[in-house]
Amino acid sequence: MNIRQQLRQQLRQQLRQQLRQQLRQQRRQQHRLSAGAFTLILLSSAAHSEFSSELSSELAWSDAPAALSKAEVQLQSEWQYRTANTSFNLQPRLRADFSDTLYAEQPTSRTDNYPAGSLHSSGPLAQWDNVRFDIAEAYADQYFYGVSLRSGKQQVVWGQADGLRVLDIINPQDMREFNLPDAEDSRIATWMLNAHIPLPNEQSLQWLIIPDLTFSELTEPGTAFAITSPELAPQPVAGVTVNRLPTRRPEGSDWEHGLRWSAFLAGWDISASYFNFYHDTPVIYRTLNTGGNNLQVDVEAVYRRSHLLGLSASTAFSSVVLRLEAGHTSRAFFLRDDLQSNGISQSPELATVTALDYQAPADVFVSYQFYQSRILVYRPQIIRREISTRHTLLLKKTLLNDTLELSFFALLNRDYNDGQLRSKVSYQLNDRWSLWSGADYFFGDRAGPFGQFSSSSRILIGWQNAF
Amino acid sequence: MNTNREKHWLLPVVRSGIQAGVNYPKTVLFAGLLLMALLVAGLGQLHKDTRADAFLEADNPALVYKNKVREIFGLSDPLIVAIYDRSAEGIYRKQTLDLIGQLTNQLNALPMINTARTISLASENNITASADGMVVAPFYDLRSTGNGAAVRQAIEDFPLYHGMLVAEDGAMSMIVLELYDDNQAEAAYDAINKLLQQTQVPADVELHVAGEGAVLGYLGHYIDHDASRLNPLAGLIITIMLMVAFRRLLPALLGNLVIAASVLMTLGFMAYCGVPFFVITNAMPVILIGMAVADSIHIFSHYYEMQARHPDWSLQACIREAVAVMARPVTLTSLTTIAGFLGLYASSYMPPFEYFGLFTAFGVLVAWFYSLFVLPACITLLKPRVSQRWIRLEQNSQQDTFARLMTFVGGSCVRHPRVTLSLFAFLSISGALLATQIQVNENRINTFHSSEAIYQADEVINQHLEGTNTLDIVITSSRNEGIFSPQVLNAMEALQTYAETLPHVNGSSSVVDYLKQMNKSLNEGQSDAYRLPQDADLIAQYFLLYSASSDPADFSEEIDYDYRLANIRLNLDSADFIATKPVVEALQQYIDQHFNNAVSDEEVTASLSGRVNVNYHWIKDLGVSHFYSVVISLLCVFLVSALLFRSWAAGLLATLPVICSILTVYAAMALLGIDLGIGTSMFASVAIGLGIDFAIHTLERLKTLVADGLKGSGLFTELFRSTGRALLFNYLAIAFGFGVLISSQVVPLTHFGTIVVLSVSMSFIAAMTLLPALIVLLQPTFIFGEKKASEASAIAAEKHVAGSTVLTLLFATGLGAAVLYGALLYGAVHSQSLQAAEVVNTETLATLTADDIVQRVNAVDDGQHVSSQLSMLLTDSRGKERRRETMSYRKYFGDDKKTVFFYKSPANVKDTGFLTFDYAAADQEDDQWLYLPALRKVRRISASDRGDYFMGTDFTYEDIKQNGHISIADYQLQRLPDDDGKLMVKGTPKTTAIAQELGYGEVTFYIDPQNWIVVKSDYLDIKQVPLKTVQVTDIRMVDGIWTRHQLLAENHISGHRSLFIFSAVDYQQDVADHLFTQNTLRRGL
Repeated sequence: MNIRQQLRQQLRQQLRQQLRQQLRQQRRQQHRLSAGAFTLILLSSAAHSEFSSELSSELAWSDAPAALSKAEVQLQSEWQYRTANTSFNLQPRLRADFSDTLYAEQPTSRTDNYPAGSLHSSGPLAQWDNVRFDIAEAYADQYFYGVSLRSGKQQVVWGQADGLRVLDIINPQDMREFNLPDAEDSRIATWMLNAHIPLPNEQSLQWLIIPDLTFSELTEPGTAFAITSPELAPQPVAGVTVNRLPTRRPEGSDWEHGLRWSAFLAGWDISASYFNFYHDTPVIYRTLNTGGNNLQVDVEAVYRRSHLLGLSASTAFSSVVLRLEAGHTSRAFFLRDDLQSNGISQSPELATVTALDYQAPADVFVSYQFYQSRILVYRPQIIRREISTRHTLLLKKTLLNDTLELSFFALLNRDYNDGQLRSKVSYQLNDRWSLWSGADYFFGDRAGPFGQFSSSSRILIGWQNAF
Repeated sequence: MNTNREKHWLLPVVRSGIQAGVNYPKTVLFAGLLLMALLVAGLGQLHKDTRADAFLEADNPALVYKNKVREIFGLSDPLIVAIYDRSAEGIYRKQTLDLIGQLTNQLNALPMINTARTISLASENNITASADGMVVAPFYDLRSTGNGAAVRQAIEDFPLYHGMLVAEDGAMSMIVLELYDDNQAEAAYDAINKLLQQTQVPADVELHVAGEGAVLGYLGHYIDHDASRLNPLAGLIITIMLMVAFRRLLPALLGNLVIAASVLMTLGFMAYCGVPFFVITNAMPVILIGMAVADSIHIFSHYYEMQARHPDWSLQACIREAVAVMARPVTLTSLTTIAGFLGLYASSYMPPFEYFGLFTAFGVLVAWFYSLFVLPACITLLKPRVSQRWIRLEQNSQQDTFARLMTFVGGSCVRHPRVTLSLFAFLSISGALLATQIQVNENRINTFHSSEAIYQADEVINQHLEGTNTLDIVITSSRNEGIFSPQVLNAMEALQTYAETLPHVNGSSSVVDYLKQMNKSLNEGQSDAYRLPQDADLIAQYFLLYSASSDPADFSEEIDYDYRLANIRLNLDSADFIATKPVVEALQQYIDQHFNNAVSDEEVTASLSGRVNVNYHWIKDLGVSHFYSVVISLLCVFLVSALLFRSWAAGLLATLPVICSILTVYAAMALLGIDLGIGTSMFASVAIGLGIDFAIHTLERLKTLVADGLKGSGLFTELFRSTGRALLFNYLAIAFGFGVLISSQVVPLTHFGTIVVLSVSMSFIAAMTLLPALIVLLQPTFIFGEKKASEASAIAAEKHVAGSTVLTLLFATGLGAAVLYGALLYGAVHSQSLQAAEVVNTETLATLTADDIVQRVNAVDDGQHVSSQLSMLLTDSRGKERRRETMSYRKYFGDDKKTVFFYKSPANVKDTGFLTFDYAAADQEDDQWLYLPALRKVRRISASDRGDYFMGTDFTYEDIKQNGHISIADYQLQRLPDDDGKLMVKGTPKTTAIAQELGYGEVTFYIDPQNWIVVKSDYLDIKQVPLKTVQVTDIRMVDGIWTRHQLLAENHISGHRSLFIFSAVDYQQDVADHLFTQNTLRRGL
């Protein structure tokens, strides 16, 4: 057999394989669609179904270049269907932003964070320039003999901290508005099996199997909340060409899984958890490529696996609630200021949150959180500090039988003395309408993870109609 | 020191020792037969003990007391002959009345019947009034007048007998018989049945025999009969199996020799030790048959295999080789099985179970000895030749259907180890969860098949009369004639009244009933005189009067000669443990709280006794004992396996299939509705003892194959083809052996057989699938040696993460299941007993203090659990409305109360949930959680801000929690003049701090004395300014409980109002415990 024959045969084989793969994907898509359609028909025919929707809109203006920085309209519906032991919940969501600052016009790697084979079921079902339609959540709940099983696309929250992600890392996050949206809106629901097994004496086991490797949706360069802090994104060096390699996602059908034991003991809610997971943001490896004339850096984003051991506890003493949370990540990855070890240092990380909530008289609620994370094997080349410290304070007051709510939130990141201040007034007009207005202000060193958004500080107004 | 085990000095000694049967066949055979003869000779002394009492140690207080009571009152477990007349007149027909008289005489004529204790319509006396006082005359004397109508009238006028001696509908009457000696129960039962069969009965009349005495009498015979059918059947099946397997008669005969040795020698040994043959001992022969045949199969197969494979070898060389190869696995499996049964011995508290564990372990030892020594000796002497067919079969067997099946199934599992693991994890979890459904229960009548006459008799008698089961309460006063004290008698009457309110207690009798009847007859038969006389002297006179008219010994069952002790006998219509347990516990609680200190001037105590009480005492610990036996047996087999393979991992691996099988059995028991009773509770040790063998054989074989240099897929193919096939036959032999039990007429044995077959099947399947899958994943060093570990690279380690996680989960699940199961059993034993009913005094309303009133308010029954829909209509001062729809559930867990609300609409609060644990202990703060859907998180909230408004309503958290009650700890109470028929109580917070917390300076409660519900409350704030008014309307009775359906709270300062409307209130439908968990809060309804 000569070389040409060999080549031809190889080519033929490749083609055949490609074709087969395409066909398989098509078939899978068809199956999925028909299954979806069948489910919908089944659900719509059911008598025990409930349907509700929320239409909301939020407009925001940023201060530095005075411009409309957000003009979002969102329609989210919820469809519930119950049988004796099972209930189904489907939440389709349509979102559009007309400000052109939150979503890039030309998404480059937006879909890298979704598993290639199941982009549509995990990520957006359909996407146009500024409009996106997706399934916010879709799951079935079943109870059998005390065990509750929730299977489907869902959000799972672990831990006791608010807004500080130590144990609350089961779901990836939509980072396009940084930490500003409600947690419910920023978490990306993933497909998983979530079994909850009750044990005697107020104990329980929760078991998660997550076959869906969807990762956090990151911001595109040039958008309002694109990350520029050197701690989080490698800085370009003048005269060095950057060669961006394709993102490396986990191969094969690797799963995430977690187990959590929770108990209510002597007035304490305690839990211990184990989570075997992929970091939701990729590790950016940089390799200096000195070949050729140009000095070139190969940049490759790789998703890496790790283990998280977590403990959390909370209890109430009189009018104070104490919340504690600690997480040990076996492998965390930190950017270095050099290109040794491909620009990344790997180390276990221990993060803790201590929080105190005080329910003051006259419907005033005060909540303070202290966050500290320590890189356990620290090297001086790591950009982040060995010990990173943050404080948050939340003040909230409700008036007029819970219809009017005033809130103020402050976050201080001690590493760079940067942070954010947020205030919000929301009013519930009636059962259907609510209105709000607020201001989000970022301050501090632009190198800091909050200070980097100094120019994205904004004021906003919004409304929501439920029907 | 030479560390190489191969060269250890002990080894040759052991080797030659093992070959003793081959080297000195005659000596060994002689020794074996001699030993057998010696032990079998003891069989003659074996005696049966099928009494329920045998399940308790002879010195158990409950048993000792029962026997003491029996001596005093002459009480024993009665035999009941019921006469059931379906005709319109019932038993008051003349023919039937005649029949009762005739039967009573005939039955009393039987030598074992204690005639003085017979209770029958034909022998009992009526107490009536006469001109000069009291007439005591047999009911039967009235027969001649009025065609039975007079008898009917007399019975109906004597409340004690109405329902007890004759059914309330008149369709059934009973003759209660007692024996001189319980050991004659079987003879008495036979004699009575014979007598009844010979009796000519009128049309529409049926005769039944039941009662604990009858159960006792028939059980021995019934079980004997069953055993005499089952054991030969098991033997026959095994023999056939052996013949089919080896195509020769001799292996079958020799196999039976081992079986016979093991079974008969064990029973003989039991006899020598003076241990009786208990009800559960029936299962032992079948178990030993299964064990013994497995050992023989292994020895014989290998012996024949050697002949087939090495036609040039001498037969002696073949048997030598067979013994050498099989000695280790046979010994290992025997040791682990023995460990399993010793676990049962160690963990049991009931003598029959202890002996069962101990002697079955002995039987396994005998089987080991005979298989490994006497059987080879016989083979050496008899030189059985392998059949050519067997050789052909054996040669083909490597490819036969069985081998292919095993290779296919096992191979699939080895190729997809994680799938296998997940599957077993799923099964185990399901099993663990289903295990929570299992209940500890036992009822001796259920031993009988439902087609048995005694079973049907029991059912029909319990339907018509007060019940065949008896519970005695013995009252002891400190002095002679102490029972004459009206205080004592009143307390007895109250106790009897209370007892009759308990479920399944249909009637009671004591001296109180006779005294009431005497009082009535001495008061011209007025029905309102059916009460206790309140004068000790008068009571003594009544007895005197009675003795003037009749035999004072009539009361020997109710009161002792010195009138110091009295007995109250309760009749129950069920002997189910789950039915009688609450009764016994409620009575004990009542006695402790209300009876034992009821009489002030003298010491009077009450103690429970009787059959139901004894049964309660031995069954109550059954669940816990079962749990310990499982844990200890597992621990034993784990330790022995670990020791044998010198590896903890091996111990764990060998035990896993057994754990899986036990969990599967729990699942099956729950699904088939099989209760954990005496018969079924010992399955676990048997399942562990038998099931462990499969795992041991698999591990041992794998180890040998690896040592022979096999690796990769070839290793497992060889395992499944050879050992897999052999184990399949081994499994089938055991399964068929135990399968015989399924055909038993003794229902617990049927259940026992079913679940043992199931568990052995599961152990076999797990050993063939789960175990290889685990070995593939874990590559344990005790099989593959240390080399593998060093070869493992870092990447491989990372890849193993998933596998090891699954394994961790599997273990966690197993552990969780064990904990869950333990808690279940603990819960079953320590579950909440019935509350003793409070006796309410009828004081006039005017004399009640504020505290009295509040106590009554707080005592209003609010149901053990309730579910309701709650609509909240919130209106602000401008008339703007908001409406919230919620579901609310409340349930008491002991004295603690848990409440949960789920918001259903509108959309902006939908899925919000609120959970409260409200503790009875005054110093324990409530625990509260709020679920906010926007956070997807259950938040702990502090409970001390009880004055805060609940979810935007005008009710505070405290208002919601109190649920219509008034907190005595918070308020200083003062009664105000009544207002329009409503009682008024003013509450002032006891301290300023409490006032601050509550947000109230003063509250006026308006209480409706009809139902003790607070219908209106006026609240002043701390500055004594009117704050709000709560009005309760639409109070309706739901399921017997006064229920508030509308609550309106009006805030006078803000002008805001909250209207709560409750609907679909349901106290009946059970409210699941899991509703009150953070998980349900998170997931919603």
